[in-house]
Amino acid sequence: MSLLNAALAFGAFAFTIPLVIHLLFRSRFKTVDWGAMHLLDSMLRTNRRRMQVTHWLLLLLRCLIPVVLAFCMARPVWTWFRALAGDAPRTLVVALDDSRSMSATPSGRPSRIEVAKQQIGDVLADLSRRDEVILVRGSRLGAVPAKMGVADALSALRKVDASGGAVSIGQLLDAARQAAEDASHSRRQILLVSDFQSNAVDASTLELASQIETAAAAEPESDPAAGLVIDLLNVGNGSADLNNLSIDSVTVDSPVVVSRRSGVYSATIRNAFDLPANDLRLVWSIDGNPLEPRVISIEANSSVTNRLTHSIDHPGTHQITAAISRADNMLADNQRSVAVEVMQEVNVLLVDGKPANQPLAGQADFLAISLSPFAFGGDDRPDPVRAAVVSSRKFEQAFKEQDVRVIILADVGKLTDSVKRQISDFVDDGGSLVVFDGPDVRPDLYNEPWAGSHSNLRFPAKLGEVQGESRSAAGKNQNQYSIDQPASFYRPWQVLSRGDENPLSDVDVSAYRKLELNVHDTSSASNAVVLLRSGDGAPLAVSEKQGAGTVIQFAISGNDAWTNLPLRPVFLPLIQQMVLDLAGKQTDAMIDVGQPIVLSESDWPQPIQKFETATRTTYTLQTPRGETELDPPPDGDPIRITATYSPGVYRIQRRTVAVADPQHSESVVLMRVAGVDASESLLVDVGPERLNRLAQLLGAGVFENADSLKAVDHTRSNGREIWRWLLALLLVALVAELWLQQNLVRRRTMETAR
Amino acid sequence: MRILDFIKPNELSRVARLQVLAREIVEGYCSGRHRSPHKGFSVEFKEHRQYVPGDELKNIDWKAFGKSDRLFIRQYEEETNLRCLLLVDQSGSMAYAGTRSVDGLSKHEYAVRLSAAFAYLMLGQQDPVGLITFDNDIRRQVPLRSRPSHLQPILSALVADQTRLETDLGSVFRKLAPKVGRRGLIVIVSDSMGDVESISRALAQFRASRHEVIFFQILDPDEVDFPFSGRIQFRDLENAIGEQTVDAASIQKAYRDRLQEHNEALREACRRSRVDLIPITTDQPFTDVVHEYVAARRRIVR
Repeated sequence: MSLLNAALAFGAFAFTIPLVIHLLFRSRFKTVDWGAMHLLDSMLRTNRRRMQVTHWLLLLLRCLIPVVLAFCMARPVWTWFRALAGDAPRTLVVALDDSRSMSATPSGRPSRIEVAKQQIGDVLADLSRRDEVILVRGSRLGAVPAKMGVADALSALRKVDASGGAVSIGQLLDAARQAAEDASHSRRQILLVSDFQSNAVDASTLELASQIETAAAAEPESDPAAGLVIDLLNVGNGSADLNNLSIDSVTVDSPVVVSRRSGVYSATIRNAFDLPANDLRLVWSIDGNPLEPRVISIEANSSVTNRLTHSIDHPGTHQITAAISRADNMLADNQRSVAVEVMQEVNVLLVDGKPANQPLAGQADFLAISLSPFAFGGDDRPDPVRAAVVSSRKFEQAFKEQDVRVIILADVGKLTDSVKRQISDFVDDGGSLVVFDGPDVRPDLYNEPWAGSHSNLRFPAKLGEVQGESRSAAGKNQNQYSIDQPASFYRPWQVLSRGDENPLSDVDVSAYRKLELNVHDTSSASNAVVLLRSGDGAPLAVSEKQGAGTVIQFAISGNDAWTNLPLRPVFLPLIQQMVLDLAGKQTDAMIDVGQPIVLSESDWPQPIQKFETATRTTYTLQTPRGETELDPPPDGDPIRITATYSPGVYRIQRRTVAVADPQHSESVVLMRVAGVDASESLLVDVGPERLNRLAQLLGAGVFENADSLKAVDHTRSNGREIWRWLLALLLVALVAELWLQQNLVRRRTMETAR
Repeated sequence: MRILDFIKPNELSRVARLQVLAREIVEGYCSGRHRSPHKGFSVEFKEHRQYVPGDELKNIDWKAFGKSDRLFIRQYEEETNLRCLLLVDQSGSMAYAGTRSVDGLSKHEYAVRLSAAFAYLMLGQQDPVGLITFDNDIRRQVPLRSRPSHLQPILSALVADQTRLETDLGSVFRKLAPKVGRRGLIVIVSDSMGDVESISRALAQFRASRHEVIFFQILDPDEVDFPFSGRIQFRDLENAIGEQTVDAASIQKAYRDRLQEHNEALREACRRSRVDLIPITTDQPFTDVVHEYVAARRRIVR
C-alpha cells in the first residue's frame, strides 16, 4: 500500500474531533433528581446495553468518516495488484497486424488500421523517454525489427498502412516474442494489435500460445519485473455488418498464352453482404488499358465468375487486371491483377527416331501435324505451337538454335551421351520431355538414368516387352486393346470429356510397351502418375516431375503403327493440350505480398544486341510506391527484392549500356505482380471463445481500447488505486451514521415500548 | 407555628368556604352538620312513633297524649361527626420538584398544603381529624380530635423532616387498616409510586372496613410528559437504584407508555374498591381540585 498524496493522510487525525466531542458530551450531562425511578427502572435495565452499543457504533462511524475521507484524498494505491516494477524502464513490442483486413472501414468511422494507430499512439504517449519501442509489422515478419524511442515509433507508426498479406496471429506473436528477446530492458511487454480475424487465429496460433504457456510455466519464479506481459488490443468486431465486395481471384485459364491468340482469363467476384449487389461495373484492363466495362450482378453472400477472352499482340509479361467500382467497406480488394506470360509461340522439338520420306510415314509426322495444324494446312492463322521435326543426329544443332519448351522423342532408340546430358539438364531446368514408343525403341536406353550436369534423369516407368503386334502385321484376328477414360485429375485432358462418354472409346491399340512403375529407385519417392490406361488396366501414359520439369512416357507409338489414335479427331486436342500445359508451367510472375522477388540470370531474356565493348548494367525497380535504383548484384548472384510490401506491379528494368558509347544501350523489363490472399477479404471475426482461449493461454488481457489497456497497465505497474472504494465506504458510513442516528435509536425505543 | 405559615390567607378563605360532605353517613359522637342514620335527640324533629314498654318516659310527647290519648315517642334527626384520617406520603419520590409546579413546589410540599387545607376545613366543621405520615413505614401519627387547637399538632407532624426513604404503600396501608378504628373518611395523598397490586390489596382492605377513601394521586407535570432530552443522569430520590445516565429522548415514549400502564392499573384497582382516585399534577391549584371533588360528592349524596 502506498499513498500518492501522503500529506493528506494526516487528515486522518481529524478522527479525534468526533472522539473529543463524544468524550465532552459524555462528561457533560444534566442531572435530575428523579422520583419516578420505579417507572424508569425497568426500561433502563433492558435498554442501557443496547444504547451503549448504538452509541459506540455511532462513535466508531463518526471517527471512521474523517479517517476514510483523509485516506480517500491521499489516493492510496494497493500494491498487492502490482505485477511489474512501477518505474523501471521497459521495452514495448508493438506487434501490429497490417494485413489487408485491417483496411476495412466501417461506414462513418475511420478504418481499423487508423483506429489501431490512434490507440497505439495513445499507449505510446504514456511511455517515458527511457522506454524503448519495437515495432513488429505483420507484413514484415522477415525483417529485423528496429528498436526506437517513442517519438521515432510514433513517426514510424504514421507510415503504416494495411496492405499486407494474410498473417497468422501466431506468426506475429512469435516474431514479437523473438523481438522481445532482444529487448534492452528486462521489463518487456508485447502489445498485439489486430482485428483478430477468424482465419488469423488458427489452430497453429493456439498451439503456439500453449507452447508459450508451457515455456512460461517451466521457467522458475523470477523477478516479476522481468516477466513478459502480453496484451491483445482488438480493433476488429462488427465484421458481420461490413459490406464488402471483393475480387477473390484473377486466373489465366488458358494453359499457355500465345501472342495474337486468344487467352481466357477469369475473375471470381464475391459479395459478402446480406444484400444482392446489382449493376456492378466490372472493368478488365490489360497493362492498365481498360477494356469495355461489363455490368454484373451478384446475389447476396455468393460469388460469380466472369471470363475474359482476349488476345494480346505482344509477347512478354503482361498485367491483367479486373476491377469493380463500388464504394464498399473495403476498397483495397476491389481490384486484383494477374501477370501473364505471353509467348511468341511454343517451340516444340520433335525428334523422329526413324524419319521417312513418305508423307505421314515418319514416327513424328502425326504429332507435328497435331501440334501445328494451321501451318500444315497452309492457313495464315498463327499456330500456338511451332513444331520442328529433326532426326536424333541433328538434335543438338536444332536444340541450340531454338528456345525449346518441349522435346518429344518419337520412337528414338539411340542417343549419344551428350544429347542425353542436354535433355537431362533441359528437364532439370524446367523443360518438358515426352517420349513415344515405337518399334525401334530399345528399353535399355530409357531404363538407365541419363546423366546430367546436376542430377540424373530417371524415367518414371521401366520399359518392358511389347505386348501385341503392330497394326500392319496384325490381321483382323489379332487382339485389340481399348483405352480407358483419361485420368480425370489431369486438367489438360478434361476438355476431351463430354459427359460420361469415353472420348477414346473408338481408339484401338494393337500393340503397347509394358510399363512398370517405381522400379528404378525405391529410395527416392516416386510421384509418377498414370494418365492413360488400357481397358485391362495396363498403364499407357505415365507422368512424373523431374527437377523443375516434367517427363511423360507413352507406351504407344506416336504414329499409327501400334494404334489408330493418331487417326482419330481426339488426337489433336489430346496432344496439343498436353503440350501447351507442359509449355506453360514456368510462369512465376505472381507473388504474394511480402514474398521476395528473386531474379537470377536465367530469368532475363537473351539480349538481342551484341555488345563488342565493355558494358555497364543498371537496374531500376518500379514499385506501386515509386521508382528506385537497385544496386547491381555481385556477379552470378540473383537480384533480391524484399520490399514487396504493397500489392501491385513490380517492374524491374535492366539497362545495359556500352561504356564507350552511351547511346548504345538495351533495356529489358521483367514484371512481377504481388497480390494479397483472398482470405483477407473474407471478414469474419474470431469467436469470443477462441479469442478468450488464446488470451487465457497467453495469460493476456483482451482490450477494446487504449484507455482500458492503460488502466490495467497502470494497475500492473503501480498497483490499484482504491480511492473509489474508499469513497464508496465513506458514503456508506455517512448514510449509516445518519440512519443510525435517525432510525435505529427510535426503532429500538419503540421495541422497548412494546 | 401558625396555619398561615403553610397556607396563604386567600387560599385559606377559599378552603374555608368549601363544604366537605361525606358521601356516606358516618357515625359520630359529636353532632354536626352531617346527617346521621341514628335517630336521637337533636334539634330537628323527625317523626312520632308509638310508645312501647321499655322506652324512656322522658321521651313521651305529652302534648300528643293530651290530644289523642295515646302514647307517642318524639324522634329527632341526629347530626353526626365525619372522622377524617389524612394519610400523607413523605417518601423520597415525593421530593421531586419540577419547574412547572405551583411556586416550584415539590410534590411533598404540595401534599402538605393540601393536607393542611383539609385539616383546617375539617376542624372548622368540628369534625375529628387525624394524620398519619408514612414512607415505607408509619412515621408520625396524630390521633383524631375535633377541637380547633388540634390543628397545631397536625401541622407539626406534616412539616416534620422528610425521610427520603422508598415508598411501600401496600404494606403501610395493611399495617394501618386495623388501627383506623371506626369507619370514616380516609384521605390518601401520595404519588402512588409502588407496586399497584399491593396498593390494590390494601385499598380493598380499607373498603372491607367500610371506610370512605379518597386517593389524591399527586404527580409532577414532568413525570407526566417526561420533557427531557439529551444526556440526563437520573438520580434516584429514594436511593434505591442509583444513578442512570441515558439519552432521555430515546426513552421518552417508553416512559410515557409505562406511566400510562401504571395509571391504568391504579385506576382499575381504585374502581374495583370503589375508591375515588383524583389524579392531580402539581401545576394545578389544589384548591380547584378539591372544590371539584367536593361538588361531585355533594351531588352523589343528595
